Amino acid sequence: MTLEEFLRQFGPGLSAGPLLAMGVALLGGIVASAVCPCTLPMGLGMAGVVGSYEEQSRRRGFIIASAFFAGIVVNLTMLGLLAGRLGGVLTETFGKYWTLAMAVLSLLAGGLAFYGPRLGVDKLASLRKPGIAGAFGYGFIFSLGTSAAPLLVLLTIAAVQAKPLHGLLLAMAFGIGRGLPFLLVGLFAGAVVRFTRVGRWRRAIQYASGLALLFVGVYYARAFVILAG
Amino acid sequence: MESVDRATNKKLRTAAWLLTAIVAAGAIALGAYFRPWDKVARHDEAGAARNGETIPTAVVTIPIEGMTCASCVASVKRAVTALEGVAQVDVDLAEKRARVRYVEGKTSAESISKAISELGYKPGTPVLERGG
Repeated sequence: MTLEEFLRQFGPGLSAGPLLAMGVALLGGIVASAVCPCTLPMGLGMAGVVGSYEEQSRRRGFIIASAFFAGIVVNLTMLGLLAGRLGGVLTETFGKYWTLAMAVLSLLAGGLAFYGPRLGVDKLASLRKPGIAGAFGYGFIFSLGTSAAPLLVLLTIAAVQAKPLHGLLLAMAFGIGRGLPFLLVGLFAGAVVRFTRVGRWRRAIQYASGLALLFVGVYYARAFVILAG
Repeated sequence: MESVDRATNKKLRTAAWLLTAIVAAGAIALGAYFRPWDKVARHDEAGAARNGETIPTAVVTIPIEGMTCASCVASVKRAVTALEGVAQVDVDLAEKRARVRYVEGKTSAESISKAISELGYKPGTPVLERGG
């Protein structure tokens, strides 16, 4: 099913009381994530990043996943604020440069996932902050390119022109739903890594992480080549 | 000392071969994935139509549900462009539709819609702008 189909069924709920409306918006976010083809490669990438960070410390992977999730939620809340002026984000030019940015970010994240764990223990502290900010930024930019269109659909059906605060709350709930699958994937990946902390698996996880993000990078690079060509 | 150097040389050589193999495999994989030669070999009527020569073309606008981001746009664009007889494709994410100029007889709105739905998106009723 598509998001449009979901909203055709549950759309009326969006104009109901705030709690029900936010619930529908949250579900809508989950549906949007489920149907977007970008979700699978990004989910793999998320598992990769969290996996490699979990290597370093127990809580690090969870914090990274949360930062990515926060990036999505914050971005969608912002888009909710801009509700009437989302047009610029949906142009082909923006789309072209967005795929390029995603390709570059993913390859960087892949390199980090691959080489990060090899750096000495003393360097880990200096990697921490960029890691969290990076994950936040990655989630933010990812959401910028992939959530504007579904959000527009949602806000149009909810007819929020007269109620900007309502639109903002819906956008935030939508963001939570949108980011939830990735947060769950991150938590799951972190748990898996934690429970397979046997020496010989570390290398495999490191390679798998780098490969997952490399795949994401190639996925977006391919989209860029198609759009630019 | 010398035996150590020989051992190191052997390792270096193996590493070099391995690297070459990986780069070659990567290039082949990338080539298969991106297929840049698709654009070069289009000596057909669609190519002529694209160049502005007078070949009868039709233009159809197809609404599409389910595109969420630029990579969806790219997938649709690639799939439709790959159809024989398609001269030009413009996919609009904001308006949720694709506008396709094609050579009549080589392909049809139905074939284009089919290609789009095979990707997983939902094409709506095509609207012909001008035919024949």
